[in-house]
Amino acid sequence: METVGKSFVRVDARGKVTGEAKYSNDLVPKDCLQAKIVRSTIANGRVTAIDISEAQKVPGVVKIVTCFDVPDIQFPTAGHPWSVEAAHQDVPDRKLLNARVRQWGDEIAAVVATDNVAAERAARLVKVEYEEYDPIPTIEEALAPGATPLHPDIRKDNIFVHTSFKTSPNFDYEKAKQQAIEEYGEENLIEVEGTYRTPRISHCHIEVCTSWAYVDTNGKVTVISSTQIPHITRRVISQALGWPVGRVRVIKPYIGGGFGNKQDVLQEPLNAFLSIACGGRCVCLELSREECISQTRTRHAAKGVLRGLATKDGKLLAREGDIYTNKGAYASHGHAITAGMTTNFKDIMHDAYGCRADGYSVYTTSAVSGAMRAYGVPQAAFFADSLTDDICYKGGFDPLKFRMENCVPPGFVASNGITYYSYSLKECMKRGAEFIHWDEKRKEYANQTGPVRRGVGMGIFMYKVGVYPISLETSSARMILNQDGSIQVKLSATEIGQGADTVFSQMASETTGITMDNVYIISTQDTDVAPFDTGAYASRQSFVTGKAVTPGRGADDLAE
Amino acid sequence: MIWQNNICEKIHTQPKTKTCVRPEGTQEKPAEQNARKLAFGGAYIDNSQNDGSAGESVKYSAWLDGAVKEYDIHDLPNGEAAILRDTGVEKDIIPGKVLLSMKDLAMNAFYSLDRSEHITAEVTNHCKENTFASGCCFVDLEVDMPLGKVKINNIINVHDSGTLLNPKLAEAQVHGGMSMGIGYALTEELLYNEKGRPLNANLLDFKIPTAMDCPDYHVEFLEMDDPMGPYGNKALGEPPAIPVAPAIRNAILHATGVSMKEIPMTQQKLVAAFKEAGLI
Repeated sequence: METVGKSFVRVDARGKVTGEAKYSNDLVPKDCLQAKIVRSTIANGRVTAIDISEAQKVPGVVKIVTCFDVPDIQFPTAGHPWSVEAAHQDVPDRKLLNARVRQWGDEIAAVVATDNVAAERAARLVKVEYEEYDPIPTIEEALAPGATPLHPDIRKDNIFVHTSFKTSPNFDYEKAKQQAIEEYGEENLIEVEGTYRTPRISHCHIEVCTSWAYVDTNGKVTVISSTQIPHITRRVISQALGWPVGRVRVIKPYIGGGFGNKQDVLQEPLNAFLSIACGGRCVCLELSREECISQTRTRHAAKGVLRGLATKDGKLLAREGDIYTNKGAYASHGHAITAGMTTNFKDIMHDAYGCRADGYSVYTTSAVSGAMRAYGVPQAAFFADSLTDDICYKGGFDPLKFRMENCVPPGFVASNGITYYSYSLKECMKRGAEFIHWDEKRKEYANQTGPVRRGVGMGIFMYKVGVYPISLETSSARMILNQDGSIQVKLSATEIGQGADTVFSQMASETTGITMDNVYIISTQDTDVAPFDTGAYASRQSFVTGKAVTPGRGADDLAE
Repeated sequence: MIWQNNICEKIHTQPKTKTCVRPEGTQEKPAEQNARKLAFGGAYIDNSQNDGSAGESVKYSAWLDGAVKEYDIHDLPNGEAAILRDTGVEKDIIPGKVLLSMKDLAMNAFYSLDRSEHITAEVTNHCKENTFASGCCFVDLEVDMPLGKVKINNIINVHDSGTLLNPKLAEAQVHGGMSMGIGYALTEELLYNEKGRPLNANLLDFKIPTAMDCPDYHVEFLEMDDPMGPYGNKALGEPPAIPVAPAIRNAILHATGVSMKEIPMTQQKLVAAFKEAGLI
């Protein structure tokens, strides 16, 4: 290959290093109004009254809207492709502003002013009365008998979805254990059980969540946003406003990181609404760092109640897990992340008898959990790898050898048919062990005393590359020839810092034979002209969207 | 068949072409790859029907009339031949020879007096393939038990991500993920008070690793061509963040015999666990 496989300098390196690259807020017009969200100061309850009279007196205030002024439309926010089947659609469980408060800092009103200072001062003067309920920020509190259901129109209690996955339909851990006792004798078995926990964390992308919106002369509401998913954002804004999709336009300039947070539709629909409420004037809605951390999306805090059974000579027999995730106040990505977490826990190891993994997504009065880099698998890996090492510790097994003998095998086929084609997991383990001097260090660190001690440890993972067959992934690409024989390449799988524009350029060059210096990738996506693609998420752009600029491989190749 | 539904179909010559006549400004292709990778919009010689020498069955393809067409060289309709004739293509056809530059081709396409056309191509691809990526993290660390402080002395991620598209970019992607993994293992957690109010929603109190907290990151790849990826590639964007926290957790278990059930393993939590285990 000529271009692919070579370490070309990033196509956006110069602009980003020199500071010339334009991000959303670099493009805000001079006369743009500034908006500030008024957030609830309780975690659970209902807004009964809002008094904006004092706030309106602040010089510079242009408009104040409250939860009683927004359209009575609930909409979903997940950065998923829309499903044409109602049963698979993302759950619409929030409005632009919500009178029913479900987290501390829930969005209940918004102020638009000529500048940020006026908007912030006015926001602080908005007086709110609440009917207050007990906060239920943890999984345990939300599941306790008598806990307030947060979305009674959608679910009777706070369990959003519960799924159960087993390696075979008849697998039962207790029965497997009985079978093991008969086969190996109780004294020849090792069993470990425990409750393992992972925290809620924030993506901490450098560029905060920000957008600005105006109504164009053709009547389109146009939103310039730091988003990973311009086409999805357009569709969700249309759903939230009740406007036709054609009257919504989303433009994505360079973005300063997303890590999944911007794979959700965040402040954009409200931003569009505020512009419309101000007669189409340009309104900027930039969230603060504090708002980004606690009021956008987070990684699910998760609890795994786990058990594992192995023989004394290091054969993994059976595992089971009940995995609970704290999904926060709203559905966001629904159950997808929790389901992925449970199946990944199940699939990464090979259990001779089998494995069961149940997943529960739980609504709570805390920050909304959504997509974050690796989509549930960091939790799954922590659960699976901790349990594995606890079994090894109890049984006196070498954790590397145990994994070599009991991890997911080559050619693995998941229950939904996804197949592990090229496989070098065990080679990776071998190489990692060599590098860290595993065997020597395991011995050297075996019997330490004193306050400072050393150890070596390992973790493994597997990760499905795309989404198919759960949904069909559609990517479009356009190439346009210039008079000098160079081309523009236009895609809607966005560059979010991961280097997509560079590798897409390499693939386009490799495919067409046109040299890299004659390939111009268009980094800004404008939904009015950019071909359709659902955007940058999962670990799929170079795999899925890459196919739109590359001769067909995969299924077609195999068929030949 | 492999070209169906592909962007190149519109702007390229026919896929059965075995030997391309390379437009100037494009890169040379190894012969065995020509079936898959054809040059953009140019004119080609197809000698798949014979031994490669120019002759009666030699065909060429061009973008003319807005569609890719293939003509027998002896049956060129006058109009279509005109562009090629201008460049002297009719004679001395040698596979691999440059017929016309991409620029000349483009200029003709834009400004031809009778059939100018803006050459563009668009495709919607359906990805009906999937596969798994994998990998691991190994860590060698030191635990100061009275302080609950963990110092990483050596760390490596090894990835099974298929063929790398850009090795330097791939390595950088792994560095960022490993840093996220260290924060996940040791310091990051969004906390709430009993009223449900966030306590540390700022970068002072929500502790992500700084440059001072990051050890040297070692990265290796075991590249295998995956039949599902467009260039044998598979996932790498997210995976680097996955195996680091469990590796650190398991190294602490190896060092101390204490099985931490919860991340982040902050200094406070580690000290409490070591006390409970009677180690300090």
